Amino acid sequence: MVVGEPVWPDVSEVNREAFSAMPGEARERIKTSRVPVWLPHNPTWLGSAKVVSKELWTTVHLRGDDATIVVSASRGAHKLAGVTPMEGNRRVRGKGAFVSQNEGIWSANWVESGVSYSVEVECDVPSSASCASENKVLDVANALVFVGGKGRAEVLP
Amino acid sequence: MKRLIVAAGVLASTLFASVSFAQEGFSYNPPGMLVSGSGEGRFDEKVYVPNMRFPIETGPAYLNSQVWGHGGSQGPGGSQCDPENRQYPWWDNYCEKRTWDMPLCPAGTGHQGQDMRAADCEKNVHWVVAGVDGTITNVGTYSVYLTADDGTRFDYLHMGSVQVAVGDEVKRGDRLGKVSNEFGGTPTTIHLHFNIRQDVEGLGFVYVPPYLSLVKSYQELMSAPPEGTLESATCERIFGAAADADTPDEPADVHISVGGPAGEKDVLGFDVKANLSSGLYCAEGEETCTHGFDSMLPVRLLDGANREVYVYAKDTWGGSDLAPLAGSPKTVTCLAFSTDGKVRRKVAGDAQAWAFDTFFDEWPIRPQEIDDLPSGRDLPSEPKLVTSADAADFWMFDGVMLRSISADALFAFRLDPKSAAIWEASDVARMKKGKPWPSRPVIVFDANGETYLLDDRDDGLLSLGGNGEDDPETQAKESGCTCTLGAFESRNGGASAAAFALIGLLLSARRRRTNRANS
Repeated sequence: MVVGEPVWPDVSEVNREAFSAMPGEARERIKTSRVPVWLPHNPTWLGSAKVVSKELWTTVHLRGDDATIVVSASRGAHKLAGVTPMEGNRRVRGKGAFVSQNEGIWSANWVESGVSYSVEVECDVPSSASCASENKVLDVANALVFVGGKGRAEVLP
Repeated sequence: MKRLIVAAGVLASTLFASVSFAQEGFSYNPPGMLVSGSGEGRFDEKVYVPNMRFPIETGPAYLNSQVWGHGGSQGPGGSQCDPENRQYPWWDNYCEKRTWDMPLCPAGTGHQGQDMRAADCEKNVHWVVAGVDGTITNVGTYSVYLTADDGTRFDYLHMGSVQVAVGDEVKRGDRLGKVSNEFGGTPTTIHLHFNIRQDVEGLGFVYVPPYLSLVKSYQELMSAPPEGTLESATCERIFGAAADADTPDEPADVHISVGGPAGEKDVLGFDVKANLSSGLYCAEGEETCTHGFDSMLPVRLLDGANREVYVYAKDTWGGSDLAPLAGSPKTVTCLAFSTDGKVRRKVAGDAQAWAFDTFFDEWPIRPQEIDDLPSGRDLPSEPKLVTSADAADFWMFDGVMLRSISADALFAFRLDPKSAAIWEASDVARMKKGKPWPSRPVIVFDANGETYLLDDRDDGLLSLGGNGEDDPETQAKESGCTCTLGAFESRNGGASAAAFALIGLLLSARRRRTNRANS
């Protein structure tokens, strides 16, 4: 296991509007996150946020209009012999990203500031237009905003 | 001889052997072998989650492709409930043909996980359970994610009757839902799709191969516990038999714990193999088989105290599970070993041939105390055994004299009776005789790391002097013997068979094992 120390955005970059849109319990857990948390800036989705924050990772579960969105962030990487480091050939937030579809669930995965991130979109109806292509997951991932983490959001209400 | 280094043995893995359970007939194809035409798999020996619990609560279960099996779009036709979908061997379908990114697949794209079917084709009957302790991080329309503290995530898809919610803390084996065909309104086949996702250095989040973690956890789920008997535990021997019905042709691993149950503080534990001749736990029709074990107490435990000896058989497919043997524990009380009446005898030259074992044979003593012990003749550089053509007695040369050695001592000294030279009884009788050898070897190391055997004091040892390297053959011939000490050399080879047969019976169950370690 390789435990990284993330490069944190400045506290001034916390999107207060997005942060405030989350339920109180979710906000409190964001404040304990050991990794910078980036979420879609959608008040409806953020209002459903459920956060699990552990020493090495944080996951946020959101309910969208017709889909479930899961955002994951990790600073604890497993070492795997024989792996050549590489990036995916899609672009997310200026980084190379892998895009995959797991039984209809779209995911975009990339590494940023020493943290592994993923955004997953599970449409309630996998055959719906939202999940017909990778566009939705890439749109969500590219529109994330910084909502804080340990040392970056404690001062927020 | 300089101080010995004894390394603990390592149990060999037989992971990729075609495995069959005695009662289930389970077998699996190797990792990376996909159904013909379904893509290129990843051959990967790594068990990514060794302690994982199998995802379906009870067996049997069948791992194979939904798409390339009966009822699948690329399959041979028929129904998803075709009995052929519920047969062994298992098939890996990680990396099966898909178009989306999968960095660990040879093609760079492929199926993220493993499809599996429960015992029958009914939906919402068979429970799906948590693989490890962790937190539920997602419950979607047809997905449940369980994430362990180390970040490893387990994905369970297509379940019905889901029992958990986001944020729930669950324990390994807790029920999550039931195998079903949920897929966002349009049902899929009745199966569980299972992924393992990890953050991998250099790649980020990726789905890793789950197949061998599933194989291992299934073996643990379906295995029968081993059985065994502790026949005797004394100061000289600890012996019995053990076998595992899941691997009847392989020696069972036996764990001996002295001073308390395994795993407790301040107990001494070590492992032995049950690979000796025994009449216990043999297959029907066999009078003897090789499920016996035979060991001894480390000499440092011979201190006059009462000790409980617990003996267990390790479950071959049950991870670290230990099954207590019938008759275990037993209590032993051994006379305290004392250096009184002992002489120290330096082991001459490169004495690897003596095969001393620091774990069992080393007596803890301070170097200055060693210097206070009377010094005897050096020990010969290698043990030389003699037996006679018409008896089952054994002697071992000690420089210029023969000393008898008991069957127990042969075992404790790790000597192979088949290596003994065979002499006429009259030749044996002509030789000078010393005290019998001690019942077990006890060794010490001085400050320079030199090895000494603590031998029973004998005037012959002290008075004859010398360096222990007197040629015993010369000595024997000077006494009138025409014999030699080469193994199996005999002037009467035909007569040796009876002696060896008898000794063979006595000692066949007395081979030393490897694989010991403090616990």
